[in-house]
Amino acid sequence: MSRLRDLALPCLGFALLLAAWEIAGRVLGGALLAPPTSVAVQFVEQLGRGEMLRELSGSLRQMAIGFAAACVVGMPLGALMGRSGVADAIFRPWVSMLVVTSTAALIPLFILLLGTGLMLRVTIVFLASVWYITLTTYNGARGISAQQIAVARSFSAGPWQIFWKVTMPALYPYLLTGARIGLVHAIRAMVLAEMFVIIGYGGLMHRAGLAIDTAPLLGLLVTLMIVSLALNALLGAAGRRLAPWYEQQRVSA
Amino acid sequence: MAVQSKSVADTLKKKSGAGSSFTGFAGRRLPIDRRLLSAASVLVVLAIWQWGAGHVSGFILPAPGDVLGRFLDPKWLTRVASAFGQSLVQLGLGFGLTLLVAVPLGIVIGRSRVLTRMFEPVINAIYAIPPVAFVPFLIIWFGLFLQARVALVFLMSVFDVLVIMISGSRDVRKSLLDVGRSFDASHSQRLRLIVFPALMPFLFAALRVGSARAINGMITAELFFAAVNLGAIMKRATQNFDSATVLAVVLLICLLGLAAQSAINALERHLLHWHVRPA
Amino acid sequence: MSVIELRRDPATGALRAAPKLEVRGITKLYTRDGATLPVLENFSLTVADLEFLVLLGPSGCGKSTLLRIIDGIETCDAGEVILDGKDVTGTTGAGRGMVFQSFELFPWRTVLGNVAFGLEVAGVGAKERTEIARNCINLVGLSGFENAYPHELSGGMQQRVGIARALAIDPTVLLMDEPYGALDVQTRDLLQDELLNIWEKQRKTVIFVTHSIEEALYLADRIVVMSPRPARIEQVIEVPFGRPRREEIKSTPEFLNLRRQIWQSLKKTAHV
Repeated sequence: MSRLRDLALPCLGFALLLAAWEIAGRVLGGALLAPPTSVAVQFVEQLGRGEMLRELSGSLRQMAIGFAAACVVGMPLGALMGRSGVADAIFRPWVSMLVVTSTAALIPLFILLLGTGLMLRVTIVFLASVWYITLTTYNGARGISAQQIAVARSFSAGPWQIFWKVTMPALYPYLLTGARIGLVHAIRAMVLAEMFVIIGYGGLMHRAGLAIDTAPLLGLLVTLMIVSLALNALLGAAGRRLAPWYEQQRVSA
Repeated sequence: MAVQSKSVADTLKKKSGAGSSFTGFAGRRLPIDRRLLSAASVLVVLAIWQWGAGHVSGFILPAPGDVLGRFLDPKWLTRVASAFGQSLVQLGLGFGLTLLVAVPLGIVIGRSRVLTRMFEPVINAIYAIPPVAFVPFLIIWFGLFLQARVALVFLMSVFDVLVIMISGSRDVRKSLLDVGRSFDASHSQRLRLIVFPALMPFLFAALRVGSARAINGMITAELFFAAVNLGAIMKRATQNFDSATVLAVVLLICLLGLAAQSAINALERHLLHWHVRPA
Repeated sequence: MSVIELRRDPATGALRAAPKLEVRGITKLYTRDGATLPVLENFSLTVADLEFLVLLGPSGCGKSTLLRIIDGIETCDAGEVILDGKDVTGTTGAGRGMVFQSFELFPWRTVLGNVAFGLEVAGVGAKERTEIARNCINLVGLSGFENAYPHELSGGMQQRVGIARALAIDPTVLLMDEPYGALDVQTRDLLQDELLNIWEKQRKTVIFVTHSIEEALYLADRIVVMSPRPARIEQVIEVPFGRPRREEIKSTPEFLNLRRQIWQSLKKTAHV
């Protein structure tokens, strides 16, 4: 009975939201807030025209490059900083400063440096997500139990073996959480950069914002939301598949 | 949060990590102080950077010396300072609005399991939309000026604060509330004397995250709506290929972020001296 | 179903007619995934005035639940709790003070703040609160620690604060839910003696829950041995030792015999 309630309540919440949206939309009119019914109609049309999906996949591909780079750099860096005091001391000031730097503030700078092409978007996505991945991994690496390493050493494991058989598996949930947090920031950065330069999916949204009817714009927003949630869920599921022994820990970054 | 029994372990952990006994790789001691190493790292990078800017052709990053030079120019400084002040106004308004809305709302939702189950998924869904995507929408609603900027700062920070406050409000230990009931405390007494103090650590976590997001929102707003204040300075500098100014403003915002975090941490240490934070 | 009538006044040995606290026909059901488990079924018990009663039983047998129902912080599905002739079922406060197993001190309050909590809730003025709290803090041997925070105290000290907090509201009945369960043996023994000291000085009716036979025999006037699912009274033991009790009696043959007897009887009803 309570499991039914667990499902029913969120649905009720969404239903309330949709209802409120519908009412507000009708009252305020499509120019201010298109109600879900007209958004749905437009959405189908947008899907049909194909432009939305084309731009979306293009943008996501570029985001993926930046995100992958952030993982490749951030994870080892975080692990290194967590296990080595020297590395921590060297890199810490930079990571601390860069993580609090607004991505938006970096865009004009990198436009000057890199122009407005592929490199800009990849770089912005990279810079927005890499520090979070680093810090999350760092937290995980710091917390690796010295006891577990001692156990491995007592079985005569060498440093490389310890790294792969103890450190990496122990780090796993943090890598996953870091990736998820990084992904959130990567998506944000992608939209940010694209809206600024008016290209890709962000550009679509900017142009939709200039139209009279808000329905297409809202359609794009909802699509973005679905994609964001789906990617996150995908990452989570992939993580659980690869390491089913490990319950997802809640890690704060 | 089992503060009591964790505290001894935490104190021990803290003691072994910090301090002058500096361990290098895999626990081997190093004679150098960690802070010295950090400072050296910064200086070395800056030095290489400065040299590179001067000598390597096609090196487009502005020299640190030039950036510093901007800060030392009094005319530039006054211009930026007044712009900065204006920027802070919308930051204050937007973040203040966030706190006003998200803190009470988060507490209320967190205390009720029904409300949490109903609205947490909805909030998470909306949270999944990058806030900057709302900009065209905000332009339609609020135009291009102060209200729109305040709205963006609000939008960018409100969900983080809300999520943290819901989580904290939900996690107030039932056993502490049982104590309240055992001593016959009324509902409002339990709220005031137990729930609120127990929430304080979460409030500060929310302040830390929310303020960072709000600052982000502040500069995003100034770049995406009608460019004003710091955003205007950045845009103009971009058009003039004045990368030193652009970097200087970036640095300024970065320092603002650090200052905010320090201030919040200091306030927390002062008010919440009973709270032992996990290292 | 068993009903125990309390007859003995521990101080004078005279018969007492009206019990201080009476638990009548308490039933508590626990539902999970559609199945209903009775934790307590038509459970009845009476406690005499100023008696030190111990509820003894294995973990999970419902004794803590019963205590919480008596305190009013948990509801029952049937039955009444009568204190001094008044029905207090389901209400909190009203003459009962509880000490919790995991201390449950408020980490943001000092020792003084914690001890004064019940008084604050009841609306007692600040000056009076502080005075009463200080007295209680002295009583439990923590004078000097009024301004310390819980995280700065050891487990034993924290539980003393818990006891002081319960005593501060001058309850008619003191309810103690395995108060020393989370502490090491030495601290336990120490606190048991301290409790008896305090009790000698400030007699109250006490209902003490534990799963330690030794603790029960050492502290109680009367032991109610319970068995689980649903909770039943297996045995009632009038503890023959005089007061004040000294630690030495724990190693006397009489003590050890009784202890063995109770253990045998508990083993028979234990669920492995």
